Amino acid sequence: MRETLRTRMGWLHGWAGFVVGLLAVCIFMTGTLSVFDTEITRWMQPENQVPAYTPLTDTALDAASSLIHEQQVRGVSVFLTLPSARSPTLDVLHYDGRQFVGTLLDPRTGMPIPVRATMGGTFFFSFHYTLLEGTTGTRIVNIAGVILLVAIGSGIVIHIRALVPDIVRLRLSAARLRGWLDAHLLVSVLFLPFTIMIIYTGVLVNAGLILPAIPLANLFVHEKPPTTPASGTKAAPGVPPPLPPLAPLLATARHSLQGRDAGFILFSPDRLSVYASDASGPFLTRDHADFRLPDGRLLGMTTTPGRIAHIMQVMHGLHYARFATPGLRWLYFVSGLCATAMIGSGLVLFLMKRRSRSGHRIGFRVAESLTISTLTGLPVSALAFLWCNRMLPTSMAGRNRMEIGCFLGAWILCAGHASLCTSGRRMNMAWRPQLRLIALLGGGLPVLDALTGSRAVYSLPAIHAAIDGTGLLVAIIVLYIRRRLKGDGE
Amino acid sequence: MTTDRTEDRTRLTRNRIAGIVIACLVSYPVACFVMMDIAGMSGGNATVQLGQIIALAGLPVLIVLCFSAYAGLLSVCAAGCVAIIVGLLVS
Repeated sequence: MRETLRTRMGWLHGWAGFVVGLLAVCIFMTGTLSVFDTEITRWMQPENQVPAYTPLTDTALDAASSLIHEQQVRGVSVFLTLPSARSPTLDVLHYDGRQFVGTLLDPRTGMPIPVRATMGGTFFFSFHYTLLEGTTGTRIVNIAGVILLVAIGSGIVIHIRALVPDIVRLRLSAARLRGWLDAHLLVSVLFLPFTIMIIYTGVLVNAGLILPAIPLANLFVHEKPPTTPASGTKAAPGVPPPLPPLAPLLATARHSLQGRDAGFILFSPDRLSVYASDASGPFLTRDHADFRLPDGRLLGMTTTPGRIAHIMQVMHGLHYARFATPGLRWLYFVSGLCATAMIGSGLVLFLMKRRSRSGHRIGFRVAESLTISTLTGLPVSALAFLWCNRMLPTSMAGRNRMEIGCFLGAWILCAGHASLCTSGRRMNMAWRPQLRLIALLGGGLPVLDALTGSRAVYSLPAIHAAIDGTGLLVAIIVLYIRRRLKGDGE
Repeated sequence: MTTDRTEDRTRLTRNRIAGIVIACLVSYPVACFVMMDIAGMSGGNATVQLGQIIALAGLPVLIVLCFSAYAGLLSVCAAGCVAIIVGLLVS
């Protein structure tokens, strides 16, 4: 057998793409949902019906100050998130080891809004970059990103001569393999710049985890654990003084931050820091104005100057897209979906090409069941997560943990079903019921929303129409794919 | 004939797996050396970030280059040697 550059790159593209593709589909799909994480959280908390652009009043800021002081007296380390176009409430939050939780205040009156406990859209965000495994998960995601870039590089080498013709060629009525290949090439080539940008900037966000800035020799030297001070040496924290009025401080901070809106406020015993909003521009900075406590005197500004720091801020900003307008956000969402479709179609192609030769092997069946449980199991579990949010009683204790349980449970059931079907070599028997389930859950989302949160649908029609409409659209696409599978008769 | 083809394919797969393992083992230290060289320049944390920006952009390219052909592997090794020498000279 003659080995050429093309065959060698084809092997690398196929195997690197498949091995990391299963993980990449999960990362891309949840990342795409994270583009609208705040909106998903609002959908999942229908009790919060504060309209966008509600003006923030001094009364609300004073109420937030009092609440923060109460929490500080109890020893809880809280911070304040200020209203924005996407999230109009005033949030007094703290980290409970799993997520940010706290009280949502009405920006007009400062009254607490009684909302249900939920993981919200931030669940998809944290799944996207940690796989729910903390730093280890983030490291795995980063390595997967680099391997995906390798797969893309080898794919470019294979198709470099036909990049332009690939854009205009889609033969869905041709043979199944040809049709899938055309679809794979079409989305790959069209969204290649976006895909490379989003993977590269994503890896850069936590670059230190795979390229630590320490000499290689020191990588294998164990760091000494930090010595904990002997008990009793730490001075007991005193009662924190009341906070100064926040409204004048925000006005001063806005002036100091060159007109940028404030995003959130962090509190420490002797100072408070007002941070620039992430939505104020494509540079994702942590510029902040510091004020002394308790008198509220401006201490100064903390910025990150320099061209390289700005490049890094743009890289972060491009990945997080927090500056994006709704239109650009939808473009990110569609591009993310197409990148997911690129990887998904690649997985299907990999299996189709090897079915005739290796279809009887146990390894092939495991690969196929993993592919099915990723491509259809993950959407099922994401939709089950949304359904669970609305079906569980609002006052139920630990309901946010139940949501995660529902998400993982649905996924495990899908994986089990796929394994059972593929072990009997009935591949379509695995795809079709799961596709039907996606259609049922996605198509039923508007009905569920209307039945369980009709008041929120009226007060926030844009958010609810977008999420319910997306569910409906997914259902239609999935039913079309299911019909095509049935037509193939396999 | 069939046995020959199977053996041929097995050998090819084995060579390719060895190739990708070597490509990763060579490319990663080279990317690290490049990053350390750039980070070694005066400029503090900013040069570390610049090093990471360049090294992470280069890492996938290095792996593909290493895997593509023997000449690619040699050129990446040569680049690694240059990076080590530059690092020693700078330090």
